[in-house]
Amino acid sequence: MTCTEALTLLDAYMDGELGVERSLEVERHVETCPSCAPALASRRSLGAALRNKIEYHTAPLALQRAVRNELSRAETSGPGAAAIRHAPPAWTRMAASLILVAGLSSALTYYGTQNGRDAVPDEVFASYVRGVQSGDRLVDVVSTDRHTVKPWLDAKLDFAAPVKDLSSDGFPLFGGRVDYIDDHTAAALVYHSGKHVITLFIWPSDGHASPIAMSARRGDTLARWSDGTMAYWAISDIAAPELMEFSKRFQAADAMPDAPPAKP
Amino acid sequence: MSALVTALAQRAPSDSKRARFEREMLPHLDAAYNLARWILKGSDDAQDVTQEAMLRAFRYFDGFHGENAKAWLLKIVRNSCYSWTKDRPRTETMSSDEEGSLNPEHETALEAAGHGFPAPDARLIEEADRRVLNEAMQALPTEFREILVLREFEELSYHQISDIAQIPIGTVMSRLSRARALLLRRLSGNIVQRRGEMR
Repeated sequence: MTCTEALTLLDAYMDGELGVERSLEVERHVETCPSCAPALASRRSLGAALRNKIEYHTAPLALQRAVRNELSRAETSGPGAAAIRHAPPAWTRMAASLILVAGLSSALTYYGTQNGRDAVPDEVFASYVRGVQSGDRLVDVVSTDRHTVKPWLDAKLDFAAPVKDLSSDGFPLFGGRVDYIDDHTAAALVYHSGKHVITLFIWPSDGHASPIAMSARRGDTLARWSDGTMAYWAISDIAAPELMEFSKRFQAADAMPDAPPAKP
Repeated sequence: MSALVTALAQRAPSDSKRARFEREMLPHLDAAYNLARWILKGSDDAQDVTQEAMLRAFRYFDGFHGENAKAWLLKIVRNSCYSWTKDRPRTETMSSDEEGSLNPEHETALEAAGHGFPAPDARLIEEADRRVLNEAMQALPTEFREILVLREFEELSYHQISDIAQIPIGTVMSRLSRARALLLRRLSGNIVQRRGEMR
């Protein structure tokens, strides 16, 4: 093998892209050639230097969130929603929820227009469905006692979400997670009502207080209100009177303290 | 934990399109962003382009049939990068400014250089620091830079690279060879120059 041939094949040899026979030929040549050996050595050093020293740009958190948001939107409004209609029978209820979301556009447009923020309801629904759909995404922090959820959320959010203990009202707090809705973070509190789950989304409102407004479609119920500081969206598959009851109890209950009691 | 929540938690991940996409493609989000950053020369637009590419990939996901997920995704990312730059006034970002890249005259000169001069000392290359390496990479023509990223960072095969960059395998081989030769020459030049300055 000549130097010209060897140099032509050097990269493929180094990258393990040559057949056994050709590899052996290159190897034999390089071992004995005083000009091709350094060429191979410098190329190997270059590869190592690039892999070890150069910047590998990992996706920023904002991008990760934006991608998940886009996926939710595409899933609930695009052809993805149609694919979910073929969900297995065990998924009937979830599939129904997804179809509900896909078919809810008129109701959502109503809310969106009223709110002046069209994107919000879609995202709330997508987040709700996503949470209920996958057990592991339902909550990121489990409420083992009444003091775990609030500090966890406070650490993750740029606002203080009121977390309330409604266990004496028949709605024990199961846990919470953080979602990304309408370009900012939102708290999602998950309460139980018997065997059902209520997801309550909370994020800072635009300052207008509004009373509880109920809506129900095909078995899923929504309650929406604002206290002027925070906007609340409760979504569940329980009946409307029960969700209304939950919403009233939540409004009436005292929030847990912002900070855990200081240790002596 | 209520019965419902227990049931939800025990259920296998949904096989909805989204769940499959998250499982197959989201682990390669870093690779997608990294490639976009290198193709777009560190531009802030890399985030937007990556986001758009991920959405595009989700739309096309029905056409993914279990081949290499990373290679499949990176092909879409690369296309998104190039169509993004096509939609804008042509800037320095994508120009094959130096070395003339695919200009045959320069190729001949380059090959002559590769054979005519001794290869830079491997120890010299080991000295190269992060900044020097980044600068040398940024200065490469885009078609050389992207192929180095695919090979050195993502460790994709020539076959996969040929599919992503839509060029024959032989071209992958020669382009990679030239990319490394250019980078080596530039690096050794920079390092020797810096040494001289320090003295």
